Amino acid sequence: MEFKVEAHRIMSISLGKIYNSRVQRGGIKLHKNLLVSLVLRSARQVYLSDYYQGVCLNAQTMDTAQPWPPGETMDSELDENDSREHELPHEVGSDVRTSTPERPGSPVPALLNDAVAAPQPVAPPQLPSRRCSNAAAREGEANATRECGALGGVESDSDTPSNPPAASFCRKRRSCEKMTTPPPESPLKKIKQQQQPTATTNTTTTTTTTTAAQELPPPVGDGEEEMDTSNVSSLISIFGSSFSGLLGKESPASEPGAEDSEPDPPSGQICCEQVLKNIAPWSTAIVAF
Amino acid sequence: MLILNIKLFCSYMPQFNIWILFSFHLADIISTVEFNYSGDLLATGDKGGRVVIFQREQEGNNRSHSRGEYNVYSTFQSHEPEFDYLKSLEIEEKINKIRWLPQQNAAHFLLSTNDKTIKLWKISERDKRAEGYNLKDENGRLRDPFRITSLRVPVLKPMDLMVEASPRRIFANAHTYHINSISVNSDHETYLSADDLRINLWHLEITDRSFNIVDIKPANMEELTEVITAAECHPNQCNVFVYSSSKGTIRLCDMRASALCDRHSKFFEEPEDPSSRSFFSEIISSISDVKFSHSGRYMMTRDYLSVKVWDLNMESRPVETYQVHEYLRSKLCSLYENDCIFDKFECCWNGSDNAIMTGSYNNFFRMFDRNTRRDITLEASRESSKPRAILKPRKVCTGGKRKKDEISVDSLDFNKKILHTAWHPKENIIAVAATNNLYIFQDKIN
Repeated sequence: MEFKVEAHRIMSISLGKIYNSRVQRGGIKLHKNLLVSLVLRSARQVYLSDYYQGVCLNAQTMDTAQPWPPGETMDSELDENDSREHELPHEVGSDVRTSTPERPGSPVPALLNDAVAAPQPVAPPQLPSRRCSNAAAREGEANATRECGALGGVESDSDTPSNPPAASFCRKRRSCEKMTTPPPESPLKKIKQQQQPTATTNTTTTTTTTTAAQELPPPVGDGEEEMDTSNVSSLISIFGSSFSGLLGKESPASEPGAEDSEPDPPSGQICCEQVLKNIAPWSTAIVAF
Repeated sequence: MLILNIKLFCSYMPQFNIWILFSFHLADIISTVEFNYSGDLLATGDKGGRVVIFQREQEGNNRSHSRGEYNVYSTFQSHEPEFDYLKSLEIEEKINKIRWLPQQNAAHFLLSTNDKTIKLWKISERDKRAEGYNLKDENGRLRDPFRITSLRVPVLKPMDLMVEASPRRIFANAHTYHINSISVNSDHETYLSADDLRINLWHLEITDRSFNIVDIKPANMEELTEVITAAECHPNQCNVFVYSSSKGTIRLCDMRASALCDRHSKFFEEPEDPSSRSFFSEIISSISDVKFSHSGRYMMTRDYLSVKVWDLNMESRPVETYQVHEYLRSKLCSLYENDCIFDKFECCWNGSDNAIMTGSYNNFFRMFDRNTRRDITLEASRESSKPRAILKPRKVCTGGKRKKDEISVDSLDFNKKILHTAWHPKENIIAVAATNNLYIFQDKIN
């Protein structure tokens, strides 16, 4: 559990660094941002694997729909599989890239673009974590391999055998909308979709990086909202209102509609909110970069 | 700008006798240090875009203890802050690297670069002045031509030495990303400049064109996994250069193989130790500096915790690895928080390639003797030594009981870092930059 806390902390620190790099004199330093995004990715991996283990334990005992716990990063890109019918992840990725063709910047802002461009499906708010975890558990090694590959690049392949739960967990999280809960059968549907191909580097990298960028899980507070991230402003408002989740509640049993009024480490809160507010201009700056 | 010039006696490395310390206080944080080919000149660049050149006093001066002493020779503003209007980005004036050109006449030439622009500077001396002009009087005022009744030939009269620096070439607009390295080729006609994703080859005489010889930018920036961190030309093979990456790998390229050297000729990588993996493994494996040995047979790389010496004939692993400050491995998280983990330390060889030097924190710097495998830690600081005192080698206590004179890891000052060091090409003289201060250690053989 302490790994999770540590990973959490590292993720928020990394986000702060990415934000600060934007206002640094001399422009954004590609090397440093690349390294920070790698740390972000590693921390997220640990965080998710830690969390998943906790969820598995809870899954057996928990009843009914639970709102998706705050603090969980989401890959909204694959969430759109809900809305786009049976669209393949890599197609989602390409669509995202197509929609934002001129994004030659550093990986991190590119990720945010992916997140931004991906429309979110409408679905009932509650999220049966139990269902998701069960669904994910059925996935097995194959998806885990792909997922782990996505998460960590070359290095994480070696982690694959030991981390299948994390992998499945990740995929399931994608399929399970953080703000919205898909109908019970959709996790399975999504899982099937994700079993389709694209273990291509493009997709996985995009996925990974998108996920890594979205450390800002809005979960609890927006349980009721329809999350439309097809444009930047809504994404920002969504993240802005619920970013506290990342640094606040840890417990999966938190109530839906829980506020973002929890006490957060001020620096993390401020920096993350500011990050979110500044996503659009930052992306534009990166385009030129 | 220069405030202090203190001479102290310090302790030494086994192969040296006695160190004499000179220190100079500069106006801004020093960002690069480089001796020229003869070692008589030492150039420093700082964060404010200034270059300060020190010259060694010639032998045979009146005072014996000033023999071999370095004093300020020239100061000039190399780069100014700029603004890229197209991208709305400010371009820092900080000098990232200085490289001297081999001397071919009385003047000295050096290349200095900031993030985007490289400049060739000519530093020349003027110690004579023409007097006796016909059309101007001694004050420079124009003479009334009607009053000139005779012609005279101007004569050269000695004057106080004046050192002038003038920009001779400006190599601009060739780099989209931040320039991290420049390296003069052994053909003395070309040089390379490297940014995060590309390496360009220039001719010293031609400023409006450069050849791109390495381009690792992926078609889709989202696939970016590594950047170029340093590049250097081989010291005697003008077709060979190396570049290091943020993933801890070094690629050696041969320009005869193809115009675009995206495919390396040799690939140097040490397999990672899986047991030491952490969140920060990738960061600490990123290479911050790569330097060929003077012989050209070896190269040295610096990553966050160690220095590695590679034999160019063996790609699988380094032949020597030296731990600089292994005690920091357990502190990586804090170092990540305070950004110290991103510090880019440089390393250097001595003239005979049997010793290497690199910096650390708390104003410590480390020297390793490759033959005896002995190492020493010294501190570049005025406070810790009185004039004529002998500086002791320092030691960091890594755990357990702290002995007297040892420093514990927790009391290290991470704001005092030595990133830039340089070793005289022929003698036992080293220059160490500690923030605003330049320390020059000399071996005074009795």
